[in-house]
Amino acid sequence: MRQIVNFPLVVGGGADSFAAQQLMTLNKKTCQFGLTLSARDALELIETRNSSLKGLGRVEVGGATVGKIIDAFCTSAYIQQQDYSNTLHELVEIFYYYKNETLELISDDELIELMKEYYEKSCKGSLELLKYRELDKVARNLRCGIPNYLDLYQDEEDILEEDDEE
Amino acid sequence: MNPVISLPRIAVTNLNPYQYTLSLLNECLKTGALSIERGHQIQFELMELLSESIPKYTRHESNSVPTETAQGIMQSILYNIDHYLRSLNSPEQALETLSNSALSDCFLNGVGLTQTVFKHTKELWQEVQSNRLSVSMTAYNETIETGFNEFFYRYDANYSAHNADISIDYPLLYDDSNWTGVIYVNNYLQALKLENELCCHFPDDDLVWLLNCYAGKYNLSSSDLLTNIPDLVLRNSLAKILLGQPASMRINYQDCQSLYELLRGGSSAHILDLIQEALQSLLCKLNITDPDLYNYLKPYPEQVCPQLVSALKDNSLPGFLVLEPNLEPEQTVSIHYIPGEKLADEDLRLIIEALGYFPDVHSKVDFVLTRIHHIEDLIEILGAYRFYCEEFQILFDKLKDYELALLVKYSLEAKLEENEPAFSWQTQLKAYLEAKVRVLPIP
Repeated sequence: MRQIVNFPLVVGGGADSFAAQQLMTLNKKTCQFGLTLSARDALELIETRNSSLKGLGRVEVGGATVGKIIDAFCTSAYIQQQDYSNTLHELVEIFYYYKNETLELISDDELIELMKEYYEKSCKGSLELLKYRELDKVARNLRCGIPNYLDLYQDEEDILEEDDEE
Repeated sequence: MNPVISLPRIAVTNLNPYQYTLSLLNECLKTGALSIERGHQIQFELMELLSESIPKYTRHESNSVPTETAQGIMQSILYNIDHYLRSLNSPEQALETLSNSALSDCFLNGVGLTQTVFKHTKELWQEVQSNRLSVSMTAYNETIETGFNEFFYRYDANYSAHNADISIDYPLLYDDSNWTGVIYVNNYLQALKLENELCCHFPDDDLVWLLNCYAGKYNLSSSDLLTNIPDLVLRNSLAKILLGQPASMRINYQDCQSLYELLRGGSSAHILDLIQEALQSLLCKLNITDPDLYNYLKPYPEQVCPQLVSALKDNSLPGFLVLEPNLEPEQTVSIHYIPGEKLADEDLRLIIEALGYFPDVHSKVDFVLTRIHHIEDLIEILGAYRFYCEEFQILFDKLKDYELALLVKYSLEAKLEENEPAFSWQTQLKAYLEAKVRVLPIP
């Protein structure tokens, strides 16, 4: 096989400290919802992104994804300052996990939008329900090639039948 | 500042044509022909190219891709840069380009070249399709008809230039599978075109004859063959030329014998010289003037010579060539059986009596094998009702192949005479041999 140049997990995104500084700039927006990240929080979040990318076998261009997650979730009534950082860590991990599980069939923006919608509505702020119920069903629907993959309950019986056959 | 410190001559032998850019960088960094700073800059530019390519690949829908996808895109980038740098006149010029031009320019030039080659390759495919040989070999026909469909439909010069989605069963005379992507496909089709051109100098009937004879050797249909046609053509036609006969591929057993007499005892170097001369003569007799075909066939003598030398050494020249069937004299195998001492009637009677007292079959069998040295004595023992059912099988297991063959021969002779019913041992022997035949591995 052709020799591959070793490349970092994040290309064109600058160093981790620079990426963390970029996240800190979002505090201007999030502070109006009572949410801020310390410099240490931001750096740890970048480390979580890196370990998720590495663990899930992915490579990212730039460092905008974590910022997009912060931007989408900062308005949530279920997130308080005391659990803000931990929630973001979980959300980052969930995001990259479902990028793999959905087989690249939905865009970053759509996945973040779905995560926010389910988190706010059907999950009522539960990260467990978001990860193990709603997004799992979306991913299964996508993998099964169901056109209306956002209809989480209608085709459940069909999917179960398919699993039984397998 | 010019990052090139000096321009020493680059050792071409240290460059890998299949990974040209990386090997050139390694060589130049090692010799100091390229500065460390420029080396780092090139690596950074490579990452920049990757970071620009990933969003385009995902149509700006995703910032991240699986590592395998990123590796594929990176391979594609390097493939295109390789393509461009290889197209320059010399490694020195490639180094100068790497030193002074942006890597993105090399990449774009490479993509342009790849696309041009792709276009030419598609035309070449159509040419090969229209000029293909009239043979029934499925592997040959399907490779030309459908083997490249997916490739020409889906090939992506930007993000997957190094891949070639092809289904090729037909082997070429020589095939460098280190090349990938469109370059491999182009090389394959170029070679196939030249091979077809060579075969077109022979009558279609002769080609059909050759393939039928070759298939007949292996009890196959010529449509099921999976072999290179020009290789068979060249072997036979070069043999004819070596014998001073016209350039034809029809060769018989007498020709084969004459060739053996001509070449046996000759050194490898001498035989190689003869093959090279024969190839020149063949090309001349066939009026082949195409320099591409000439150059293509140039390495053939060196490829085939060791096989010919080995065939001469092993006395297997008929296997090296494709001979007219039924003209090879059948190989007859003679087995000369020299029997041991035949027992006196009284001694044999005592042994037969003794066999009634053995507690187990194995000691009975061992007793027979140590006392009996003549096939006629063995047949007497077998017919003396001292062995029953499975005991025969154990005894037959201990006999040598030639002893079993003698028993079969005796049985056949007895059957031909038809003056006595089959003995129990003959029925058991038949069953034993049938069971043996069933368990023979399929070759």
